[in-house]
Amino acid sequence: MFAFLSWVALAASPVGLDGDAFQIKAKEVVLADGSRIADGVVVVTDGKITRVGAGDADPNLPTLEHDGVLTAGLIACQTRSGGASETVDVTRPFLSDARLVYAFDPSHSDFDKALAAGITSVVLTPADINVAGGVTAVVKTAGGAIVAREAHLALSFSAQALGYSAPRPRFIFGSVDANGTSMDEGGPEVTYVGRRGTRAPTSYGGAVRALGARFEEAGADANSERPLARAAHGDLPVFFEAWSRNEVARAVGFAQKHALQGALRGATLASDPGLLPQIVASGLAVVVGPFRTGHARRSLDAVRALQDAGVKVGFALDAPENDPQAFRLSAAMAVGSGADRTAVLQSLTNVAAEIAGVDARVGSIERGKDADFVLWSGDPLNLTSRVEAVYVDGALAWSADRSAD
Amino acid sequence: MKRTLNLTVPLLAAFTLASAGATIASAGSATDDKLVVEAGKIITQAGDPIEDGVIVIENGRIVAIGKADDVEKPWDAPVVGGPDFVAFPGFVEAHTSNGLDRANENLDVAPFLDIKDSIDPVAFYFEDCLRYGVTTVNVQHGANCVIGAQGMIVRPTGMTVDAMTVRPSFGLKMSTGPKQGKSRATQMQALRDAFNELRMYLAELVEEERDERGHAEREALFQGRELEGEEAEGREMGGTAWKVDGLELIPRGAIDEKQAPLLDIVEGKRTCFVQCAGAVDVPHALELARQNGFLARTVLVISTDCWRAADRIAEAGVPVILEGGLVDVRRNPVTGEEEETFVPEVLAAAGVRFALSSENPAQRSLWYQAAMAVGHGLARDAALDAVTRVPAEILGLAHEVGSLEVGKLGNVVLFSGDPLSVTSWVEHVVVEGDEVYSRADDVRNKQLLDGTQPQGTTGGVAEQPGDASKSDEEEGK
Amino acid sequence: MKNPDSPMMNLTKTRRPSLALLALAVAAAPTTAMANDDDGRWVISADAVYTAAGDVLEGGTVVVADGKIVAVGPGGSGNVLEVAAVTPGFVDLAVRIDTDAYSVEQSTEASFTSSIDDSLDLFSYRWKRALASGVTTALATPSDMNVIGGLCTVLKTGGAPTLEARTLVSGAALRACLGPQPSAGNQAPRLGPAATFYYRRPTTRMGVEWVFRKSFYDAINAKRFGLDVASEDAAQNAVALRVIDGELPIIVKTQATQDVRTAIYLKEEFGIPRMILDDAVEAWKEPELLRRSGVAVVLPPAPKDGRVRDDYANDNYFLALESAATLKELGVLVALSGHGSSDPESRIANQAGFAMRGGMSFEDALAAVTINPAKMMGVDDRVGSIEVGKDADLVLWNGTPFEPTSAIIGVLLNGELVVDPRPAE
Repeated sequence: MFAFLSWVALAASPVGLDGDAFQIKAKEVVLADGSRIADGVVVVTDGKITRVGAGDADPNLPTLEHDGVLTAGLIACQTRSGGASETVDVTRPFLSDARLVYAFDPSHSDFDKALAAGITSVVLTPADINVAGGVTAVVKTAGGAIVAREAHLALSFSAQALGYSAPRPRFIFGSVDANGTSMDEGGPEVTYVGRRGTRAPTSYGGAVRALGARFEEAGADANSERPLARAAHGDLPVFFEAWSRNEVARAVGFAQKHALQGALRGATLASDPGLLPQIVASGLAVVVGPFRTGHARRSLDAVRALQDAGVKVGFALDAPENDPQAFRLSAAMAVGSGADRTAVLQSLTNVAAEIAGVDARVGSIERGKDADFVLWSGDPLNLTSRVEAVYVDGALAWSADRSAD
Repeated sequence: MKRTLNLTVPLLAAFTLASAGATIASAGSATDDKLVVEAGKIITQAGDPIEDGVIVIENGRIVAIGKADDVEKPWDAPVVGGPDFVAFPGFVEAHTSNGLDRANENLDVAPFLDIKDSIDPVAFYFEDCLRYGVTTVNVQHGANCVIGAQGMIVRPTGMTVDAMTVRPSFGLKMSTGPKQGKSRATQMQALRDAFNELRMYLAELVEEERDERGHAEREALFQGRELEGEEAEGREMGGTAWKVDGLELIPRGAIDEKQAPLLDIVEGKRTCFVQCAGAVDVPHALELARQNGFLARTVLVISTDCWRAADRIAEAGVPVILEGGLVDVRRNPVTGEEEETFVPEVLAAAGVRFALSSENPAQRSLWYQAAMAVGHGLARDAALDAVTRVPAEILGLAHEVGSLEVGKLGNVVLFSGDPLSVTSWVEHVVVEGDEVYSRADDVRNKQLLDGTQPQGTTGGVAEQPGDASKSDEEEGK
Repeated sequence: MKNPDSPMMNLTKTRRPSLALLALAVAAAPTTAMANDDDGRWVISADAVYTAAGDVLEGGTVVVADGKIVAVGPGGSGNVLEVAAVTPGFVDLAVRIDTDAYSVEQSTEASFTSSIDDSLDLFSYRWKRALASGVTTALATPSDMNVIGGLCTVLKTGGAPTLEARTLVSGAALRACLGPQPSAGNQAPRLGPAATFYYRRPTTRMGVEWVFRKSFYDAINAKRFGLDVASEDAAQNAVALRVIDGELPIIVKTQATQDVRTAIYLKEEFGIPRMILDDAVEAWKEPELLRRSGVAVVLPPAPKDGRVRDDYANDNYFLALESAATLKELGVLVALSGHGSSDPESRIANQAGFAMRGGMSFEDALAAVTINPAKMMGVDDRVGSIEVGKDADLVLWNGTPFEPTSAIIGVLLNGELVVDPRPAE
């Protein structure tokens, strides 16, 4: 439904048609450094931002007056939007050559929902059920534009990646529930400690050794263009899932040993005073969230602690499990827990673009960048503010007015 | 000299049932009515310890206690002990569901049942009691009930329940923690219903009496029973919470035996042991007791977690029996850190009277619970009281057990050293003047130490004690 | 404090008679409030210093500086902590702090080359529990789901949560497990394809023993005949050969008598010089084998009635209370353990008490929780006794150690006061 409406909106829009130049005059324009221009004017030409300034608008250009805030389009540093089951491959724990860019449907309603929430670019990642899950991609939420075909190599030291049990008929394997209690028929019921899987590696140690061996092998081949080799050579950042503190410490240690750069995803308790220095020393960014209401205070504190320590923070969307409307909620909750408001907004825009490796193109209101921006009724981190319109590549991609029709 | 007259034979004792008087059914197995206990030190739990002390017991009771030089020892009495021993009052187990054939009745509300029918006199539990110096045991229905059976107080010695009986039909068990298959809401509903039914039943009885109905049924009830006093005449309803007018018209003997124990409770004539599975249950238990007039006779049997309701317990003024471990170990949901709370200290600080228990299957007996309580910071006197004097008071036996004083029962434990030291052993146990345990003769203690299978027994040492006795029986077949 | 930002936590117990303390976390704020001088120097003055090195000093002091014990004897100046008794920090070879199934690689039944280092959770709250109960050095082992579980690490229970900060010896021993546990949950192929590796793993005690024997047999043969094997097999064989050569001790979980016997027969068959039996509930049943074989033994916490439940075999084993004393009499090196239990009765200090109840002397019981396990792991040069030059890992008591009426009121780890014996303000 959203898809249909937004296309209608594009066609019927008085401004923002391809090839045209136009300008938007907003009460407040938020820049990448966090500064705000009162009564700012943003000029868009051929889908790019060509001028950003204060005061008078060019009388010769079509002008849209916006009585609110203009920010760069939000960027979700992790999601499985438009891919869902296509991002879950249980056949092999090491799928480093898989590419997410081939696993999404650009017309999927997930993207319309994201647009409606002010999200204009997303990092598509595989599910964290494989130790090496594939290569992430950065795509726009409107028009299926691909910003980066190869953003990161996705790795996971999450327990999810260990000994994953593929669903199979009960008469073959019986079934083992999440608590490890066998419900197999026949024979006494056996209670296992922890989860048992059907696939190697089943242990953290097994994952460390197997992945380490692959990195060493790939790194030794200086000419290889395969993702593992490029990550080992420092040409491709990693996107490393690790949730509990010991998983994070393990991932950080692994990244340092193999000189990997990129981002951690998870790190719920990054504020732990024993763990934070390890994260800082690794130089990795951290992708947090999504936070839900009722989330432990300790995990919300992570954002402030990471900011204070100078670590780049991005936010995950994790759709379709989470609704994009909750994306801003995660950020607002972090602010509520003491994180710096300006820095959190940067984490949703230009810092997120840096983490995704696409900051040359998107993430900020700056001359030469893609004209991806959101018109808000007020401050985006105020949850009573609404998204009024979303522009992608200079075209109106979503509008509150049109969608209300 | 043999005991020739045994006035309070168990059968009689059974008939004194709810009167809750001072009557004690005495140990039937005594062979001598005099005994002298000598000890290098007597910890009396009633004043200062006595060095080089002597306790003289006659007819089951202490008749003299003091320094060896000050006490006249009967020339014809056998002597137990000597200068190497430390004498201590027998421990009092304030509440247990051990030693039972099965601890839990399937019926939700079963106050008409009597725990005496379930007690297994040869259960290893009672043997263990003596081994660890416990001489008085309050046996109550298990926790998996709404309203359980009538309990009883026993001495852990004797081959029959009658011989073990100290106080028949003592107390009644209730649980505010949900019985298996119930929620807390349905559990409380079942408890309230039990008392509502009692009320309606009594009102109906009175109504029938006034309408001159139901005589024939009551006549049938009286068949073969000779009732006297209030049993035949009736009496106004006692208690403080609620009353049924006209109950004096009903001979008490005409009241259904299923309802009579609950009426006892509402009239404040019977101690209630109310199990609280968690702090959440404490206010419910207290409210139920207030609504039905038995708060003054309520003892809460609490889990470790219940310390969080210590203030509520203190405010109600009821004593508690701490049934879980001494230390509540839990993770703080906010910080994720593990926290330890030493429960007796919280109870003491709130002003709650508490007895310790060894009911938890993982826990060692009362001596060790008291010792660990000292280790965690409870004053030694308070710790020792919590396994002797306080449970004696809770059981209404303060005048009989819990300390070594003239007039009290001759229950004495002789330790090889300090009762709370890990290297001390119970060497002899005297119950009401009879030496009922001597470590030298304790084959199963030897088994616990070195694994030696006692002669004439089968089954591996690792098996359940119950299994071993079962295989004995099977072999006998 | 030397370093106010130190992640070492100040552990506060809630036993002192102050309501304000009742709900305090075992691990509270960092130790910024402590009144130690900048040199990290402490003088512990005790009515009795139990060194576990032969001497008991009545009215002695232990002086600690820069993480080490610098003097033992009378006198000493600095921050004085007065306590009733001081013992070395405990060494527990069975704290059982692991990441459950994720600590052991089950795609093989003999993971010789796995190191527990890769699977440890140094952030587990259970380390703090161990520390508060007096354990300052522990052996980290994988969960016992494999016949050969992998290489174990001796580490301190406190300090910064990094391997670098805590490790004493990485790869200090090889873990193995006999009995029903490694085969629990494995299954015979039935319908359909054998899609999981649990189908090919052993399902009996015999199968478990066979995997153990085959691993060592293959290693010996490969060496004897100079076989060219795959590199993973070669790495596995190398570990097995280090065990056979006595460079690496092997610590084998053996609860039942039959498992104790199997372990000793394997030791003798392959000539394994250094074998430690862990959780050896029924070792007491085989006195002659133990004496003959020269194994060391780690005993589990003593249960109330001697019965130890084995859920994997649906069986009970019996731990005689005299076990520790009996084994010591036989000349067996004995250690006690607490299994990291939350139950106060199971903690390691109480195990020493129960060993004494079973006839062990105080000195032997002390050794069984300090220097003996340190010797088994070859770290007795660093920990396990109070001697000048050793790590300042100390347990401070308010009464006679190992009595249930006494409490551990203070703990020092590497000279840092991690449990403060002084009453809170």
